Amino acid sequence: MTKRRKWTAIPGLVVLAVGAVMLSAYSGASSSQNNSPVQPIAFPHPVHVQKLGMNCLYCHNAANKSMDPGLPAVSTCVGCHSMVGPDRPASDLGPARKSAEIQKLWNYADIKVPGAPLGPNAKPIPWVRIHKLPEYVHFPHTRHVNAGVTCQTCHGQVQKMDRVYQYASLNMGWCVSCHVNGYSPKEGQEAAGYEPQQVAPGQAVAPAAAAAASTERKKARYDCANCHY
Amino acid sequence: MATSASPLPGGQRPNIPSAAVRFPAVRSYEQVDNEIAGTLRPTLGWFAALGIAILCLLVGAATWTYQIHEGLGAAGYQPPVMWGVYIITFVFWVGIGHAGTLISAILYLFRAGFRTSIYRVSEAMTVFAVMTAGLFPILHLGRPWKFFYLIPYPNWRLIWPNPKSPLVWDVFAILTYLTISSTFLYIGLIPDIAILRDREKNPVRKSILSMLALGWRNSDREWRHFTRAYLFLAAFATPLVLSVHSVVSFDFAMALTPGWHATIFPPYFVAGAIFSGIGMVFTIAIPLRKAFKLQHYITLNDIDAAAKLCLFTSMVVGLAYLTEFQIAWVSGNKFEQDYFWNRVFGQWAWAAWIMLICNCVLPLSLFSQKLRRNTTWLFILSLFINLGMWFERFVIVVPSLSHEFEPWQWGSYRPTWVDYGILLGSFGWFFMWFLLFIKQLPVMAMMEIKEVVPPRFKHGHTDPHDLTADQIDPDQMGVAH
Amino acid sequence: MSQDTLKTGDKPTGVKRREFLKVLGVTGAAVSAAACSEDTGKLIPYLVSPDETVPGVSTYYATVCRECISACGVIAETRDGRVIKLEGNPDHPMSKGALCARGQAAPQGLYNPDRFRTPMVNEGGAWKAITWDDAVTRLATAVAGAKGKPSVFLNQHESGSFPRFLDSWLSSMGLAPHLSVDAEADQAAIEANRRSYGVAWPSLSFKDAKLIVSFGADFLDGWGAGVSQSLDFADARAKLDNAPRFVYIGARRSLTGLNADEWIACKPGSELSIANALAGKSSLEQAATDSGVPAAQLQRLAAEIGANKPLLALSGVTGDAALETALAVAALNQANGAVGVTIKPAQPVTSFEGIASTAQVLNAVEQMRGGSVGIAFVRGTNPAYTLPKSANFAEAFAKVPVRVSFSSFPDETTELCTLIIPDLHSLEQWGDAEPLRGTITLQQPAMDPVFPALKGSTADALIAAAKNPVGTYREWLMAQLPGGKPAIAAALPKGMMAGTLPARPTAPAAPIAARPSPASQGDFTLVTYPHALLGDGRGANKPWLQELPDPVSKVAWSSWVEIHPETAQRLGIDRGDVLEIKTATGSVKAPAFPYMGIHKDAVAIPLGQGHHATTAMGVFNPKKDAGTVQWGYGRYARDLGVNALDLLPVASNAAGGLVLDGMKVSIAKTGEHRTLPSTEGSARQHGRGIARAIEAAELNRPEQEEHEVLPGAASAEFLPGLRSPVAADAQGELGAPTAADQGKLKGMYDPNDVRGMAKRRWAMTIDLNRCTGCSACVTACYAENNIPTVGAAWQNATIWADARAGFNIERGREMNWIRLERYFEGNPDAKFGEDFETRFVPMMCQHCGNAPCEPVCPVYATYHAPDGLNVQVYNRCVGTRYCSNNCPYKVRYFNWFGYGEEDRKQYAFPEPLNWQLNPDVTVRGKGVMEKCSFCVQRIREAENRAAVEHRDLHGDEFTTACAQACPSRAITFGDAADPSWSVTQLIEDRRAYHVFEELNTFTAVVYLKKVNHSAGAAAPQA
Repeated sequence: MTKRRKWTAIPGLVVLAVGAVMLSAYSGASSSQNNSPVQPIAFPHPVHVQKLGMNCLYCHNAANKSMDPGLPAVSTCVGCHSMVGPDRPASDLGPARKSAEIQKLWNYADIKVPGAPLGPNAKPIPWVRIHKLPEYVHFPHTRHVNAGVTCQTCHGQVQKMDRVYQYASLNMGWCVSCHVNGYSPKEGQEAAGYEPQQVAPGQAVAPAAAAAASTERKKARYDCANCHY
Repeated sequence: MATSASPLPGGQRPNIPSAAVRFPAVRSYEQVDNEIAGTLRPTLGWFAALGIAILCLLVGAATWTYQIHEGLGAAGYQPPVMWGVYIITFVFWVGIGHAGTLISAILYLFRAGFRTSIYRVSEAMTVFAVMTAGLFPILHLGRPWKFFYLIPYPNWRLIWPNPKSPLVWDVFAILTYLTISSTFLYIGLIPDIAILRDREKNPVRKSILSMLALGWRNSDREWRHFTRAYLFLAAFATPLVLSVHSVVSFDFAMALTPGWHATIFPPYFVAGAIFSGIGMVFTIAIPLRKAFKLQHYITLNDIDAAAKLCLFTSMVVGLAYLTEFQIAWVSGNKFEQDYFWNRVFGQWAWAAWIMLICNCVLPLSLFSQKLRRNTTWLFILSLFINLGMWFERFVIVVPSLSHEFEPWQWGSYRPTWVDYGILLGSFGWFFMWFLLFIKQLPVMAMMEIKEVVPPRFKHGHTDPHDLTADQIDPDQMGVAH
Repeated sequence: MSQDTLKTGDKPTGVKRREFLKVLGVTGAAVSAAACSEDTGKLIPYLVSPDETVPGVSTYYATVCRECISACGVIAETRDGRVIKLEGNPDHPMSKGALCARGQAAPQGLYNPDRFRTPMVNEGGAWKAITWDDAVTRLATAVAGAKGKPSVFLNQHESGSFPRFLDSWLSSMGLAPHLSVDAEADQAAIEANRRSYGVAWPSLSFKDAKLIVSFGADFLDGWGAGVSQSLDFADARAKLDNAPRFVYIGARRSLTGLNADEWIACKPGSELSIANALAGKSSLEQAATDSGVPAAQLQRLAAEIGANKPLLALSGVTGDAALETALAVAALNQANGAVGVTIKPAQPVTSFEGIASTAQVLNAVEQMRGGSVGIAFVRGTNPAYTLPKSANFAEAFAKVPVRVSFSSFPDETTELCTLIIPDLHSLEQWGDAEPLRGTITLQQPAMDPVFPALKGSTADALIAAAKNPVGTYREWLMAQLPGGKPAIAAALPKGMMAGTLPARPTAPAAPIAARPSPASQGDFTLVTYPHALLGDGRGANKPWLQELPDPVSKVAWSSWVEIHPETAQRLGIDRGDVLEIKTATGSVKAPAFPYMGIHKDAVAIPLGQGHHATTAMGVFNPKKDAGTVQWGYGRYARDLGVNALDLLPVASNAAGGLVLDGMKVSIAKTGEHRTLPSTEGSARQHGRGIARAIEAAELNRPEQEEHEVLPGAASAEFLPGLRSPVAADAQGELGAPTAADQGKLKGMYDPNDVRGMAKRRWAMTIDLNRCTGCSACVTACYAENNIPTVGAAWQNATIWADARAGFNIERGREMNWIRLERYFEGNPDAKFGEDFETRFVPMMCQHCGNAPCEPVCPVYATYHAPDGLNVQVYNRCVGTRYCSNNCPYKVRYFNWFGYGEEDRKQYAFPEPLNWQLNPDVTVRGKGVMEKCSFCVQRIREAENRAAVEHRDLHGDEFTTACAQACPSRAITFGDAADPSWSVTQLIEDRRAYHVFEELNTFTAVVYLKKVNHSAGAAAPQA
């Protein structure tokens, strides 16, 4: 009897091992999803986007004309922040306070007094990269932005993130499934967290809004050479 | 396979070769148990052999590590010769495996008596040969750490291997073959393991053995199930002998490379495989028989029979070679003709002639019975056969690639120490396993031998061993009716 | 990539523009990099973003190519502030959008890892790096010290205003004017042109000629204005049946000679008597005996010249009688109505004005030997290497107390100097050129200096040293150019402006007397010639040019001795046997290359290799020597092959040009054998119909019905058109769903295909009648596709018995996605006559519609894209190499080592060479297969552009790198399924054929047969 129980263990173990391998392989355990590193400056997207209503393209200005989304030059930050210094008066953004983060920016930009331009010892800000595709993947931001894909579809609602994290898995399967199943503007809008435009009965819908509201899915090529070359 | 030991009148049993002829020197079950189980005691020579094997394995391992770090360029590839020693050796080892299955499965179905003494050895050889062969497809990859791309499993990339590619078929062929042959080996071992279990004193070994013996108790019921299962597995393994090496041959036959692109490849490869396998059986069985003093089990009759098989397959292979040339000749295909000419009379003549002499000329000596029964000669011959069969694969792989459609890209090939190191390592790996096996488990199926050893008779019958030669019915000689 | 860049903290000065760009670049990373590592590195922004650049989008600057003296207009493609590629300037009259291999390789000079990174001074035999300002002050004091004493300034000849600036500066410093040196220029031809046509170099029109006769003038291997000549020559040949016949007369059949319809193999030096005989000045019999050419052949040629006017005769002879020959040939032209028609003195190539003769340089050397010279400057040129050893330049140079070099590379001459103020690369500085009279070409910096320590160009240094009020050279230049700033601003985008520069100072007239070469004895005559790619040796430090096989011998990374097979047989010399070539002045050892294209009594050695350092230096070791100065012209050039100039005496012809051939030499076997690093497998087609040709006469023969051609057999006679339409694929006819569709279906690439799978079929035609085999396409491909060079000595495995340069090439591991196959026709190897024909076939991935490589790949790493591309996916490839085994064209290349992985000794792009890497193309790691992708990155870029502009692609909107570079317009790329692309018409050509069509691969590359004009056919039409 005991002999029997002993040997039944063997196939059991084998089955478990195989199962474990399958699972880990399938779950894409290797993805760096949700990775949310500490940045040299705790840049508050919510304040800039939601409160001040800045557009993504204001800083990431190449996203609609290049493979690269582009990263704001220090001068771009300083454009406002040479005036908007560390000493923040009370405003709708909060009570009067000293902003340590803007101070950091001034240190990088080598600015001592409000209104001063970029200083001689200005250094660029070493932002920690979050969204990184492998070098053998060529992802044209321009194609997606111009096709009307909302930034948030892939990057999540950055406008609500106090600290940006990697929203999507960026796994190949994740890319492919969208290229295969297609992208519906409506879902994109929802993903972006925009409220669908309210239209009074009888009132004509702006064509842009109509396009944004359409549920018809745009499919894309998904053979390898689309991105890998 | 009859399992009862009750003799028919006259001490003769139909369909089973008379013990008198099979193993004249084996008189009792105890003798079988003692002599065969006795071989399991480690000896100094064995340790030495194992040491050498492991050393070779380490050399191979180190070389491979170096190759992975450096890149495949460390090996001797010279484009357009993109496949070299590794694929050659892969095919070589898969081939070796086949004789094992042939002897253990097919000959079993055919009730060929001479297999009884050698099938366990050759079956073990099969398993380890396939284990060795299985390494090479990974070894020769540019990025071996990505080998799992070839295995179909659901993954987040949402892509699968290419079912059209012969290399994917290979993966399945090898894995299937490994599974079946090892199962077959194991099932056949169960009764013997049980015997060892019962003889074992050391508690640890005893518990392991009892685990492996699956609680075998030698009851009639178990024997009935056992023989059914064994028969079934034999029938199951038989088609593999043909299918696996056919698939391996597709690696070449499916390509349009001149010299590969031929419909004759599957049968040609199978014949070659069996030929090389028998060669390897000789290489292993003959020294073993001597070292373990088992000459009275692996008798000259058995060896003689195996040698005939060897001769036959050698001639089949020879025919295949000729057919290849003939096809090229009548094809009127310039590429083919150029290639075959270059193979035998050009750049690669030396390799082609090694192949032809070792595989087609030397084995013809086996027409002489004297040589068939001369173990020394058989051993030497078997080494030549191994060499010749390795070169057969060399001649298939390298000259074809070096002399393809595009003359501007014609090239040559010279392996480097890396190739040889890994080749050596593969032998180390194979013999390490084999040596470990022969000291853990019996190299001969005790129970099958017992079947042909007459039991000790209760009441005074003439003991078959007392029969004189002229009393022996010639019909009972050698193999079954 | 990004994180690696930051780890190399070699730049203390914060992170500036260029580093940011490196950070952003997707290059440098190996495909084998972990797909999803947590360490995603840093993103470094600009401080102030430059207004004209968008990250990830190329900017283009029109400028000038300075790789040879012709000064073609080029366009530099810069990505994020880095030059990543040079293209010809389509509007420029010289290059017309094409660019030769040497021009393509210019970025490897710009990013050469062995470029001087700082000024240096030699104090007590030890070199020490100094700042630019320090260097300038030292220069100023040195110049002040040398005031009044004689001085020498050897400057690399260049067209434009700089020479004038230089001389004005020199005179203001009280120094002698400079010598404008170019070791490649054919001074005899120039002098003859001056005397016969009144200009240094008239533009040539091959198109207008009825017959082209070249006396050793290699106008396709760098003689004269390379690109424009080969463009025009190709256009001439493209006239098919009434194209000019081309006869080449010379002892060695160069690349130009291989393109000739007939080769008259004369004894070296006997060209003169032939020219005279053809001009009627002497008897043909006399010429026949002098040259060893059968009189009948000369007879026929004479008749042909008489019958085919206008003639275009060229002389490029470099022997003692060079000038005389050139003059005789000029007379021949004048006699046969060439002047003004095929030879246009009215449109002079001004680049060739004002070159100092070698005789003048030699005089300067003697002056230095005299010891009176107070200061010597050298810039760009490398006399210690380009003058024969017997001139003892080093010894004479050493007599000068102050020796200043403005050269960028650690070459032989620079090594002898005391002060080095490296010049900026032409792509980093302002300048101008006037290649053709009336066309000023502007040279503008395409990027910031690669090495910030170099604050300015030579001109800037001179200005600074002179405390000159002008400020920068740029301002001085602006003042010189017609129209001033506004005109320049308007002209810069095109890179050209109309107008002429003031005549350049003609070099001081030194008494030129021919120094005949001394009597020499030996059974063979030596022929040395500038290497078609390395030129006079200046290209040797660029791995692309070293890796690119010589168009004739197909040997790379090495020197070789050409010897006639018959002679070789007689002397028992095999290919690769090392021969010792001896003359009175010296001896060299090099492996033999039996070559049918050389006269039986001659041996030929190319120039350009054999750079050596005087300071002892071992084989470069990437691990140890990365930081040190690599004397001997850098890691890629040092101790490679031999310099044939060591054999030559100091002899110059009547024009002052160095005498390069005619020396008698003795050859001996050393017993040593060295496999030639050659890409050549078999030089014969074995009747496989890869490179096909037809007689011009046959072109218009009526079609006859097709009949089956045996597999592998080249089609016996001319079968017009393709038997498998390009816009067909594996599915093709067979894929017809119903019987009704049979014949209707042209395959899935047909826009009207019922299955509507794809609208595109990218395809290519290659006109073998235009292709001259110059190999510019190969280098263009290297530049565009980040192809690693693999030939350097240290690029082998670590533990290797015999690591030597070219080793990987010997093993056939070169990575050239497109290669030039050179097949010899006629003259079965048994007998070696002169009348063999050569066919060049550019061979790259054929992008088969029914590709053998696709089904065998176990992991779909290669597959068929819906737009007809046969795609290789590097990151999916596991490296079984089955695809290559199954490729009939053998155009797949495997990464045997980690050529693309930094921190490996095999790394092919050592900093800063990796700045040139194309960010749009993945750099492959070890263990993956790669091949021609039809420049898929360009296709995607165009598609993206079109999509963003909401339009469809225009016909001929873009093209591949090879097609763009081709200086003979042989390659046309386009969409075979869209008639608006010109490739669709070319596919219909009667000469079109597929290679190995019988294999049913349905290739996308269509070749157009070469057209031959055999002697018989072209015999006088009288």
